[in-house]
Amino acid sequence: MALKVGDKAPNFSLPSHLNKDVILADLRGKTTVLAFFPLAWTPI
Amino acid sequence: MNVQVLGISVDHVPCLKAWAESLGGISFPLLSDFWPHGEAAKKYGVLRSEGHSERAIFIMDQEGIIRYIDIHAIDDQPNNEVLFAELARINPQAAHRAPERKPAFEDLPKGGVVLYCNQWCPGCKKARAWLAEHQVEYREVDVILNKHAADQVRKWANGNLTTPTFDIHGTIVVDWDPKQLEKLLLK
Repeated sequence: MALKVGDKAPNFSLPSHLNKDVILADLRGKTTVLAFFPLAWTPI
Repeated sequence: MNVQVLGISVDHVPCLKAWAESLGGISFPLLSDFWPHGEAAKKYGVLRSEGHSERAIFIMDQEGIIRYIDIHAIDDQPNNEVLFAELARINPQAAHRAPERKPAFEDLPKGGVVLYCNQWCPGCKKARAWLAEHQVEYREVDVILNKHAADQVRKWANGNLTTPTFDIHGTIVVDWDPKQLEKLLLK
């Protein structure tokens, strides 16, 4: 099922390279840019 | 700018750390979608069968609603100006911090061959290569940077901002269609 503009962003909680877990739902109130990239060592 | 940027890949955390270090440090979080493998990518519909994700950008507004989706060819990098233009649209307060090149209302070229495109779409790249190969003179209008161009393309393409779109001596060709171009330009 593909997401569409206007859909609620699926939540996730993931560890980050800055030693802090990021929970998407905690970022309410901010515009959030989520950039998926295939693998490290490739351009982001 | 009240914008949070998140990078995300299926790499594990030590790998992301090493990579960030190799780039001189990255200030926004790089998220590790390593375990359960690619779960977030799966939720967003961008996990490839090879086990890693597409190159894709999602922009969420302050309510957590998706306002922009761009999934592009894996060897393509998104253009920062395009992203800033989208951010300005979604979060107008951020606009004054966006780079100098804001979307403008420039007049559209009339006559000749005009390519309506953006900086990253694979079809636009094919179109440029095709036009160069066949030595067709043309003008290029970026639909992200020129709002008149975006409105015009939407009128031609049933409300979609389809790129590339061509105006070939007044005949409109929506989307990358080399057969049509051949018919209109080479015969």
